[in-house]
Amino acid sequence: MSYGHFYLSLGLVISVWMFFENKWHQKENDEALKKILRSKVVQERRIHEVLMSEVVAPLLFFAVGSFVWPGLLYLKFKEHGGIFRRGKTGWPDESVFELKRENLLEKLSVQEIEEREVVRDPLGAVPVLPFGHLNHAWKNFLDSYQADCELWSFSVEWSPWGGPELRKGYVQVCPKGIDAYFLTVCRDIEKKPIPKKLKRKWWGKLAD
Amino acid sequence: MTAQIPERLRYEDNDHAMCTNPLSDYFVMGGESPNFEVSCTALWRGYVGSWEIVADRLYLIGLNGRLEGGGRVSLETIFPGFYDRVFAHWYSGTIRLPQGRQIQYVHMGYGSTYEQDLFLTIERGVVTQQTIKQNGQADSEAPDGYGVSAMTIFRDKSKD
Repeated sequence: MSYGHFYLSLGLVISVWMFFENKWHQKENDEALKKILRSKVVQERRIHEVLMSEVVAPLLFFAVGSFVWPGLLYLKFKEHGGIFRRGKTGWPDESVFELKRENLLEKLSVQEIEEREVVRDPLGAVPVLPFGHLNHAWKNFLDSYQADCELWSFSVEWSPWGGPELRKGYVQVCPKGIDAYFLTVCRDIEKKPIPKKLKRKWWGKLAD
Repeated sequence: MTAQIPERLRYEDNDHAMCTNPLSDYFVMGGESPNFEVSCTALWRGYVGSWEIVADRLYLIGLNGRLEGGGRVSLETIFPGFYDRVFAHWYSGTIRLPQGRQIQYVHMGYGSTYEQDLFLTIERGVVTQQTIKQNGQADSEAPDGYGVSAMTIFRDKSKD
């Protein structure tokens, strides 16, 4: 066997392996997406689309890959940090809301909170109770309240995926740390403009 | 994601399409949420709420939707004992009421742009501010008022 045949054979094996390895992970992601969108929304593919993606495209990939496989290996290494490794793909993890000590405002008793949070309405469209229609949720919050904990009001700006929010409420501060919280305000706020210096840094990173 | 069917708001004797979902905040804050049936891609939240502003206060006055496993949703499904009106004291934020003709259609969420937006700032269920934002001039043939151009309707599971 000549060097040329060896190069092409090795390229074919690597291309086939990369194709099916990639297809396997793509299928995992597709399944996750279908679950989110509910499978009925994802329409069935037509026969020519199936032929293109399942027959023509793989054959083309194998043919080209047999020649350019060192480049394919380099791209895989660059993307996933190793030939046999695969970086995490799919949906990014949603950041989890957490309170810190600097977000705490005022230490209060249950009685003080309940007195200030009674809701009233001239048309009688709310139960005259602490937190009105959310009284049941408040009681559930108090069920988890332990004697050695304190109740504090809090206010914090937080930036989840959808955009920055202002969150206010009450939180249990226990000897082991900040524990369960009860929200009274959760509103979208305007995004702060990004300073020019930071913008340049972002563009620099994107360009890399 | 498909453009979403809006909530409805009666404000100063006019009916408006409301591109904000104050009831979602109620569920975020610990209010019990039933399992709404999702019947089409233009209504992922599974319900349409009817709202009203009376004496600067925001009220939920109706709820349309279905529950998973059958049954219609009403105000009492979520707020037992309150069948005709619920004061939305939990809501703080800005309500968007698009007005005029459509400038740009976006097939996602409440992303479409209209000639103007009426914004109502609400603090714990009470209107504190009203502002109008002009977004530009639409074509004379552009559709007037909020609309959803296309959606996929799911099979009715209750008929299986």
